[in-house]
Amino acid sequence: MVPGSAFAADTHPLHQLVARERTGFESRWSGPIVTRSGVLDPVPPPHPPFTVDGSSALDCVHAKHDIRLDPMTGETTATFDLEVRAGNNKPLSAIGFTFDEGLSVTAVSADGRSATFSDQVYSPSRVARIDLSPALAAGQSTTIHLAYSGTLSCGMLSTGGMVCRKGSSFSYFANQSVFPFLFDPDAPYANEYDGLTRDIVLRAPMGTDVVVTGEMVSDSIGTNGDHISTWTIDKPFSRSLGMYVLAGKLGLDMVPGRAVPTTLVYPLPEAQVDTHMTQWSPPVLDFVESSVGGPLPFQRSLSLVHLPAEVGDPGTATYGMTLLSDAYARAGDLMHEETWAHENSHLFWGIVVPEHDSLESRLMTEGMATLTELDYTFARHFSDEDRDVYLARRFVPIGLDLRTVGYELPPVQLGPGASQPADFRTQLYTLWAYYKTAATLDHLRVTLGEDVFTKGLRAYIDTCSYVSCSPDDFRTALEKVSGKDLGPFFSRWVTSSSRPQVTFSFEPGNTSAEIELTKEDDLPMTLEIWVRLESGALVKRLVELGPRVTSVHVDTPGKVRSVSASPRHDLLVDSRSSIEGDLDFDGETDGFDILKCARLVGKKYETQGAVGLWVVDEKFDPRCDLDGDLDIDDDDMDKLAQSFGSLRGAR
Amino acid sequence: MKLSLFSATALLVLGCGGSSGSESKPGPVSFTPEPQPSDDGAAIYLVGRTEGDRVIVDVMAHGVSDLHGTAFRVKWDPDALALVDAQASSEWTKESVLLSKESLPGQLVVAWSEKGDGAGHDATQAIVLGTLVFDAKSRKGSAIAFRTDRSTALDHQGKTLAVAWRSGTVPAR
Repeated sequence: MVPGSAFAADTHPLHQLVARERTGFESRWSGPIVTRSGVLDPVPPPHPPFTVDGSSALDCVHAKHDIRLDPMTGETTATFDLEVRAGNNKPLSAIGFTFDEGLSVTAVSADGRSATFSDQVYSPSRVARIDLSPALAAGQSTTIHLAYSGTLSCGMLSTGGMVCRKGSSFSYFANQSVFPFLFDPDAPYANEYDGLTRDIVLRAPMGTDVVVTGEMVSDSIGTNGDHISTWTIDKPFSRSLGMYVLAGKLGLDMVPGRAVPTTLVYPLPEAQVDTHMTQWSPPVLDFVESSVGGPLPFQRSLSLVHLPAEVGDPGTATYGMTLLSDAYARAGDLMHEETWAHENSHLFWGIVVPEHDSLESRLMTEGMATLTELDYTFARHFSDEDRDVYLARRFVPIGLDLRTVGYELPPVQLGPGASQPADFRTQLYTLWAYYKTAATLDHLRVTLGEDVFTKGLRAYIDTCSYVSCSPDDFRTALEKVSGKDLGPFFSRWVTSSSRPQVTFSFEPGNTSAEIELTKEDDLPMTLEIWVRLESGALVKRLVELGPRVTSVHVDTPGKVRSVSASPRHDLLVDSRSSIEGDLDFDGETDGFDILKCARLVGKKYETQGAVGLWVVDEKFDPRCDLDGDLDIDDDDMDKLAQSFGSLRGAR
Repeated sequence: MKLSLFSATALLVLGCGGSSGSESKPGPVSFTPEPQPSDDGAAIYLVGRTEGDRVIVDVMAHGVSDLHGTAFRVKWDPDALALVDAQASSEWTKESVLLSKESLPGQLVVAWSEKGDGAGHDATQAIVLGTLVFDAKSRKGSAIAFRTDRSTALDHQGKTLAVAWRSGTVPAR
């Protein structure tokens, strides 16, 4: 039996931990945890500021799976060889795993030492432990050999999700069903990354279609008529991320226009959503690759999966595979396509470039994926618009959600003792993990300039591919390419939360402007300043703000009309004119300011529960909501009217 | 008429010379609109009339089907004219925002707009947006001119309407 000290609770906590990947519409991709592998990483390991549950000694190196699975009955026979190492300068005495309660271990051994097996059922899972004797000393390795068989129960999780679905033409087997989900029983909640490689043989009855996480190596018919497919994960891939088998009578369509064989996998009969996903996939994948400056590393195959909503899995990205629930189709084609871009961008942001600790920050996974989805939709559907204005507009509802629902959210990178919003399914988690991170990244992008940001991103990818990194590593990469100290930026907006006020005033000239920027603190800040000319032309200038008051002279090719900050700063910088009511930053309050808002009277921002990215009320202009009550009404117009007619020369 | 016009010019000359030692009575005040181009396109323009020394100028719109609001500035010589009133017309609804202010001597800032995102006014046929009233202060003439760089008109979607801004003149007397 499993020692009581490890699994005392009636419901094993790992059920919650693993279930997080699949429960809740909002959660999408989420990677719980894990230890990084010192053996596999070509660069010195980053040092996290803290660990939630101590570091784990379990360092998984390579796994070989040979599984025979009948997806209709759930009958399973499998062998599993796992090479492990004692990492983190600690001895390793035990390995834990969990899989479907209907499976039983029939044999266990370890090279060079004895292996003792014990297990306990926490329905619908079986939680098992293998104790090694003697324990592996720090740095030592062994291979554990396991055989297991039985009939998958595919029961419901206490949280309502399911781990597998058998007996369907689209049968679905996720983590901790047929593939053992591995963990360190002595540090089950260690959150450091641990990547391993895998070779997988999947045998299924004749005529069964099979798709497995990984790249397909071969596909054949065995002597007994079994359909045998082999798959590989030949780069380190987190042991806690999704391993899937999809089997049955699957819809399998080749996605056109891709050099690597790319297949859309879907439940039959084919629906319109499948046509859409096939159409969207080439531009989505091309965009993801162009945004990171190189091809996806999956050279043998890529599987794109349309998950039916009934399986309760919102989707995720895993090695050589992206999955997305058709529940997202409810948001309309545009948002469904955008979400498809989000999920596929995780092939980089989470799979190729994993994060060190998902409890510390989601900046470089969910933040990057959310930023990518916005960039994609602009490039694909709105490229005739001004990009800055488009992006600023997309962040308006996000900013309002943050202002109304998420005003007490922790910073995007947590410090010691801080914790992220509690549950993956909450609005606050969505705001923290997706929206606040993406807004911070876009603000950073404007602050540095697009080119520098892109170079820094690519340097980060070069350093962090297949090893785990943290926001600190991103900062290091950006500082290297920009030559700038980003400490002030990170301390303002990454490791803490703020929206500092910056006041703009200027004296216009025929070919220049004398600009004065005032803030209330001494911490440096960079802003992109927009100098709009009477001709309509725009001069953009990055300005370094020093303590309190910064004076800037900007030469221009024409007469200056207005001076403001890039609207893409708006979410994180409260920029305003020194003249009350001057909403268009021309230094005067006139009819242009009134007309900007009169049309919006009656608009209310009614939060949809922190889903601003989805329910896009882009017409609500927060600048017209002068009293901040989320309602553009007569009170705001009265306030504007009070300052109406304040002209240069009249003050 | 010819005589009257001639007299006005003569008075102006005398007035400007200022050396006769005796003030003659100025001629009647008048308003001359900027000529209308032959294309007769969309425009916001001024139409004036006089009552004694008072110049009453209607701000007109023509050739646009969805005029939701307009913001403009009007300039004049404050030595020549004194603004008495600026009133929006009854075309605007009771809910509309109607603001005007002579923020600088000789410069009127105006915002007349409906609120909300309902359809704008149909001005395919000319409509009066409002009326500006001036009193002539002297014999001096003055343009009553839109500042086109600070004037705009929007439809109910917030799109800028392409209109010509046509001003007018109160000739010297």
